[in-house]
Order: sequence, then structure tokens, then C-alpha cells
Amino acid sequence: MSLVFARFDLQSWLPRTQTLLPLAFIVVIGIVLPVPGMAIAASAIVTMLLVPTPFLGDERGRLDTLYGTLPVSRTSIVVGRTLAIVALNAVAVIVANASTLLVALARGGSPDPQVLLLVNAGAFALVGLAVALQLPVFFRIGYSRGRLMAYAPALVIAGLAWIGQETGLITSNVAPPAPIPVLAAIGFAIGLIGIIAGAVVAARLYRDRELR
Amino acid sequence: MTDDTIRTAAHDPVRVEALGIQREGFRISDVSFSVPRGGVVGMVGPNGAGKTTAIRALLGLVAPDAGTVRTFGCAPGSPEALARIGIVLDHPTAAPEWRVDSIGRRLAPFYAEWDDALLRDMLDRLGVPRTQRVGELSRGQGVKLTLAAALAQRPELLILDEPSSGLDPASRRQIGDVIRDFMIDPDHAVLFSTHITTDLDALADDLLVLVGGRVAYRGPLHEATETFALARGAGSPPREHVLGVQRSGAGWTALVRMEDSAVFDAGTVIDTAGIDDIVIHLGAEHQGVAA
Repeated sequence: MSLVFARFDLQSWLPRTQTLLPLAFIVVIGIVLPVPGMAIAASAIVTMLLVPTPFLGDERGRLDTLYGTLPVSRTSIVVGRTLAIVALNAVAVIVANASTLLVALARGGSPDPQVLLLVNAGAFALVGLAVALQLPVFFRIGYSRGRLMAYAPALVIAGLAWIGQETGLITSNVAPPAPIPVLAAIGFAIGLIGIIAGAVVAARLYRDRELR
Repeated sequence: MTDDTIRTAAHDPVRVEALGIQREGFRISDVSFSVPRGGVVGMVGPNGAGKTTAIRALLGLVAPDAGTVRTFGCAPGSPEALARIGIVLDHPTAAPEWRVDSIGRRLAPFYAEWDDALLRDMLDRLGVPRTQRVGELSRGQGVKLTLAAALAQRPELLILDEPSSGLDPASRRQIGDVIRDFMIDPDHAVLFSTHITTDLDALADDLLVLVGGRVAYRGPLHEATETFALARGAGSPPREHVLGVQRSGAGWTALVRMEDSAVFDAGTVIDTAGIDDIVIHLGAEHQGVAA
């Protein structure tokens, strides 16, 4: 039933303008900013910004109550929505990588595959972080009461960037602390763990939530 | 009150025993009732009596603090039970931007028995424009859409929370007709809450009156008017044998049990009590004495 709910969920909010426009924004970033990987970073930011969107839609359409009356377990609803967000991220990543490659080809260059791998891994780690932070809160208290959490990923990223800068990790002349494939694997692992942890905690919190 | 018509057999679609829910400023205590197969139970009571909360407890949307709630023998909110219940709440549960004709495509995958042809027939019969968006529908059309979608699930039990509130008489009659058609199948059952007591006369077999979060009456509808009487008098209302009093000007009306009606003096007029009288006076008793 999780897949059924994921499909239902995507039908509800993916075709909206406010979802599709940010996806177009990724392409614009890929064209305007010449640094390879910026569109991929933008795909992570867009995904993070769109995580609250279905929860906002739930409250506007009183879909929370509908979910409570569907013959689906609450765990299936959480897993289904998580899958829908992962699917959105997959679309964003495909758009980002395609625009990165096409723009590079149009400019007569070819981006470094290792850089792209690392940026994709970093972007996925950020998405995992956002899901881990936001899903439990939105599933427990809904969008209205939890909307400040929409800014949490941005604050965490800013904090990590500040720490990286203060410790000298984010400088162009420092050698990577590990081979790039290892760093990429760590990034993807962080993303995956974040998504799974977010879904597990959200399922526990949503199970006991009273729906109005 | 007799329990033979509010049956408590294990196979009843709804069975509630000693339900208790306590929230800030609100309380339901010791509410027990059941909805048998083939039965239509109407739930009435003043605002804040606990009707919607009791219904939400049946659906697993609100967790009880005490008592047991079973729908088709399952815990409330379990997918097995919800698959057999058609639900019409007091507001449409669909996103405003959804088109009416997309509802079937969206909801059908969740229900094994979904009948899309029935949904289309019901929408046409109830006059819900299929090409409009949910947000563009009137309140009445929204209720009809929700009812049509609930029936398309091919449920065994219909639960409706104030379905006729705010509707014109023609729409109320349409909804009543649909519910009566649903009840042609003797295995079906209906539980509905309402403020409009004429709906009870038209539809309900059994009556459940909730006042202040407690059951003030439960039993066959026709027995309610035989159980109670309305006493009218002037001056001070009596204190004994009275279930609820309302004062108006120099007089008063009181709800009494029919068997107690003989104890009042000759100056007191005894009338039959309608459902409205019963609800109003039991509610007045809960609030103290209404002015």
C-alpha cells in the first residue's frame, strides 16, 4: 500500500505550479552559473524546500483527515510520502545532471565525473538531512505548527558551511581527506540513513497523532 | 430504554463500550452503544455534546482514554475495518484543486470493491458537476460528492457526521433517499449524527442522545416519544420527577418520564414530547436550567 499511497501523493502535489517551477529553477541555475555541479546543488536545495509542500497541501485540503479514513496503515502513509519525496528528488537530480551535461556540451567542455559524483553525494546527504529533520515534525504536528522546520535544513547547511570554513575544510587548496569515491559513498550513506531514520521516527510519531 | 434493539452482538459493525475521552475543556464519559446490521442509528445532541468526537473515535482519528471501541470486531482505524466503512464527515476531504471526475482515479486503488460506474451514477443523480473542481462546489455539493465517493467503496457501514447540516430541504431529501437505498441490503448499517431531528424521523431506527459527553438516551426511536412527556406549567417548576427544565416568561416546560406524568398537579399540562423537546430539555438539564 505504500507504493499506492506514493502514487496518490505524487498525483496530489507534483503537478502543481509551485512544485514544477522550482524544478525549472534547477535548469536556470545550470545555465546561468558556469561552475559544474551548481545545478546538482540546486536540486538538493529545491528538494529540501519542497519537503513541506505536501504537508501544506494536506492542511489546505484537509487531506490529513482523508488519510486517517483510508484503509491504509499510518506507517504505509509515512513510507509512501517518503517514497514520493525520494521520487521528487530523483526527478530533480535527473534534471540537474542532464542540464549540467547539456550546458557543458554546449560550451564545448566536459565536467569532471569525480566532481559530479562528489557533488551528487553531497546533495543527497543534504536531502537525507532535510528529510530526517522535517518529516518527523510535519507528520507529528502538521505544517502550520511545524512550518519553522522548513528553514531548519538551510540553517544546518549554513552552520556546516561555517564550521567547514572555520576549520579550513572548505578551501580549494586543501587535499580531500579521503579518496573521492569514499567521500561519495559516505555522502550517499548519510543521505540514505537520514531518509530511513526520518521515516522511522515519523512513523512512530504519526501513529499516535490525532487527526482533526 | 431497552437494549434489545441497540443490540450488542459480537458481529455488530459498531460496538462501543464505556468510551471515555478527556481533552482540554471537553469530556466524553461512559458512552456505550452499538450499530447492528440492518440498523440505522441516529445520534443527536446539542453542540459540544461529543457526537463528532465519538464518531472520530470510531474511525481511529481520536484515541480513547477509556473503554473499548470495535468496528467489525477490529480496532478503530485498522485498515481492515476502514475498508468496510464509507465515511462522510462534516467537510469534504479532498483538495480544492482536484477535479470531481478525478476522485475515482485517485481513490480507487485503495479499495478492492471500488465501483467507478456507481460513483458516476451517484454524482449525476445527486447533481454534482463532474467537471468542476472540489473548491468550486457548494457545501451541499461537497457533501454529496463525499457521499458518492463513500458509496463507491461498496461499504457495509456508512458513518455520516452531520451530513444534512446547512443543506436545503431538497438536498436533505436526496441524501435521505440515498441512505434508504443503501439500507435495502439487510447486511448494511448506518450511523449518523445530526442537528435536524426530522432526519431522524425519516431515517433512524434507533436513537442515541448525547448530552455533555454522556448518553442521555439510547433506544428505539419510536420508544423515545413514548418514554418521555412534556410538562408545562406556570410559576416555579417542580424539582422532582423532572429530567430537564426550560423557563420561558412566566412559565416553564419540563421533560418528564411518561410514567411520572400522573404525579403533577392539575395545573400542569402534559403533552407528548418530540425529539427536539427531548434533546433541548436534556441539554438544558446538563447546562443547569436554560433561560
